[in-house]
Amino acid sequence: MRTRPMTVTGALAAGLLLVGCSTPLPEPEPEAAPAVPPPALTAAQVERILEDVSTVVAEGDEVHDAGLLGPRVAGPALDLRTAQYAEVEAGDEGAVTAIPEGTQTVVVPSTTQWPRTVMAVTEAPEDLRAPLLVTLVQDGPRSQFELWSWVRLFPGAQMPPTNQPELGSAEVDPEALLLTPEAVLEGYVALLDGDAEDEAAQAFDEEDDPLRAQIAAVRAGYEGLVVDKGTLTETYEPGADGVQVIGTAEGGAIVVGSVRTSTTITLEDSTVNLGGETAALLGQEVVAANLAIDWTSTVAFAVPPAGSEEPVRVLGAEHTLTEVTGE
Amino acid sequence: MLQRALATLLCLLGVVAISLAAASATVWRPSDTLVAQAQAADGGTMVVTAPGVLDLAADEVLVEARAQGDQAVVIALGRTSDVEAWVGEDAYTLVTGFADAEVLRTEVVEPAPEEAEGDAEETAADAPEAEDSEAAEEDAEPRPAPDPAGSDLWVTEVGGVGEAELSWTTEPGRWSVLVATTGEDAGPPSVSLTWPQEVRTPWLVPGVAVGSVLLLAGIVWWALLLLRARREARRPAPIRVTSTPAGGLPLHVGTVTPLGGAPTRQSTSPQVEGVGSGGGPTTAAPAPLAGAAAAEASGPDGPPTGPMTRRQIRELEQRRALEARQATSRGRRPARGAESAPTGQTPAVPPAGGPPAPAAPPAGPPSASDATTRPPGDRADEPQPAAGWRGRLGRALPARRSEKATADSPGAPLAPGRAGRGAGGLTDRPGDAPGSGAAGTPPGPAPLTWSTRPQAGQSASADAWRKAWGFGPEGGAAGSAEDAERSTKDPDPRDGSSRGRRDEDEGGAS
Repeated sequence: MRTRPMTVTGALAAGLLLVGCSTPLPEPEPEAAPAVPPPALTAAQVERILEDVSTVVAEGDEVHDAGLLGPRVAGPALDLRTAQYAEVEAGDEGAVTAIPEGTQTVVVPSTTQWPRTVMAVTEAPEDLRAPLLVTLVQDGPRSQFELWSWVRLFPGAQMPPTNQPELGSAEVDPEALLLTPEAVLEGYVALLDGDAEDEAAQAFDEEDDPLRAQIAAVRAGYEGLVVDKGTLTETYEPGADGVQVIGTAEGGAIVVGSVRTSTTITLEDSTVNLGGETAALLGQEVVAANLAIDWTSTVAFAVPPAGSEEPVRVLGAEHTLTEVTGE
Repeated sequence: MLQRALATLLCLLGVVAISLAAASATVWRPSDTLVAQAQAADGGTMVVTAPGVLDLAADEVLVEARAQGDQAVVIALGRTSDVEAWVGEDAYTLVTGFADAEVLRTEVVEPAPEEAEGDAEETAADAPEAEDSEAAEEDAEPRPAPDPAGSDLWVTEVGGVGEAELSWTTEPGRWSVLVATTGEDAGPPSVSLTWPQEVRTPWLVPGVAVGSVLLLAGIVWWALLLLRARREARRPAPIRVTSTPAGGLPLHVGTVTPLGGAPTRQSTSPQVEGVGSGGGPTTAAPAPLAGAAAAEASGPDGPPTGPMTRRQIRELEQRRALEARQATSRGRRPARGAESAPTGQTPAVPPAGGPPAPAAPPAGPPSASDATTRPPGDRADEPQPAAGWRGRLGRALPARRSEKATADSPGAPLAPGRAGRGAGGLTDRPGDAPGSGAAGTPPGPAPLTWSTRPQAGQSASADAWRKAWGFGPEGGAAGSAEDAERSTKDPDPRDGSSRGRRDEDEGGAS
């Protein structure tokens, strides 16, 4: 009789003591840093960035002022745009490539490093031409993503499968590709040069791609103009801005680079009548002595992984006359 | 006693447990939010939360940032790796968890420029160079604080002047918040993180449950104890009955002694008499009784050596009056006396003044008027001299009457003062009665009412019991004697002794 109340009292007292104690403060329990980095951007971020880029580009397009593009356009894209504005100023109304804002496919890298590259296939433009593959690059943590390039996909070009942006595309190990990104560009230049024996060039599809065909056609045209009145030399070199790479779902990569095509014509006691955008850019139609024409081409390649039997394919390109000098 | 104490203790513990449980869910209910603050280190403009801090206490968090004055402040949320990369080489304050419930634990992350270290190593040889580098740093100081606003890195960001707030729901991954004040003269911002808390009251249900059980157990225990006590009390009842009289006597005595209480109780009997308005037997009854009571009382109370109590005085008066009345009634109206004697309280008793038969009726009116309530009692009393009846009715009747009695006849029935009605009636009526009865307004018919009342209201029963008891016209003396005898028992209890005692006696007898 006496012990029961005692134990009850004791239990109650213990309970009351516990009431007074508060739960201990939690300690941070962060997720372990994942072995595979998460996608660098969320879909919302990509959308926001593309919107911002489009806005800036639209502002530049409005007044044909490449200076306004600074915050969001860089690299070959800035070169191209600048040239296009110049052409428009020279009278070529259709020189500016319209860049649709919407996207069909977005490829986001999974990385914690910089620079970071994001690629996107835009919706089909209103002019019913092929969609563009745009490349955005962020150089560092405090930099913004900038439009680095755009290429128009070739008709019938098949984009290699890529991971969903929510998953992110794995970082690309250059050595795990059939050709390193730099080698791809060099190989393509070799192809343009007609050096079919080049090791890298052999990895490419033997069939001419539209860009090669176009460059060859233009060159042929000038050669026809010059004939024996002078000399014509044309050189190709990879762009100074390097290449951008993003992985595909199959372990390959999409490589985007630029190629600079320089045509130099030296006339001997004769003149060449120019027309079209070249003349517009030069500001004169007749050249009597030397003529230097620079083109900048942005080219996208689908590079299979190392050991693949597949060739390197050219997905698309944008070829623009960037500079004309002559006397 | 110990058990009762324990039972009480159990009840108390139960109540306390319930109270504490309730308090734990009300007064001591923890806050719905957990708020903790952090302040950027002096000179710093950036605060960064370590991964896991944002979802430290809940999946939802409200980040509030305050700048000093109207400086611009930005809250940016991004992956921890991005935030760290963005902050880069700048110094910042890292929030790493709780210091206590309201303050966040912080540590200052200083840039560790490799150049500076290299300089430090060379300092010994090249002191001036180090100074130069310091000077260079100082020169570089005025640059505006880094502004994270608008970076593509942030999943969300909020900017404001002076203050800003951002709410966020946890997503998988490692996330951090960067709070930065911006501008040329940016000061250290302060950050507060608010988490909604799922308030739990873990003690409410168990506390109330345990408390209820304890309380219930205590109550049941108490109930059992009380029940047992009552059972025990009932079992030795005979012993108590024997003891009761013993106890009752002093009790009775006690009622006599308290002068304040006795008179009021006594008033029942006077009242009865008052109602009877000089009812011979009634008054007669108390008188002997009073005498007996007085005799009884005198025993324990001591003979009237000391000053007489009011009761004693009254009893004395009653006795005298009774004697006087008996003398008259016996002589003049034996029948009347006989009739009234059994009634006890009936007004039938001729007035004390011994007025002639016609004179007696006058006493009726008052009684009649009073009788409106009383008759039943009277009637009940009249035919049933049995003590049991009396006792039972006595409980209710005296109480009712006592009220009137106090008003009508506060004093002894025969006391001069109390005669206001009865005596007045007696004295007046006689006058009226002779006066052809039509003299006064209400008093006039008084004799009639008086005469009718016994006839109409009570005649049957009165006759019946008179016959039953064998009261003849001459039985007055015997009746009165009998009545007196009985009244010695009856009025006694009524007469100021505790009714309870009488009940006990009766109960014991039965």
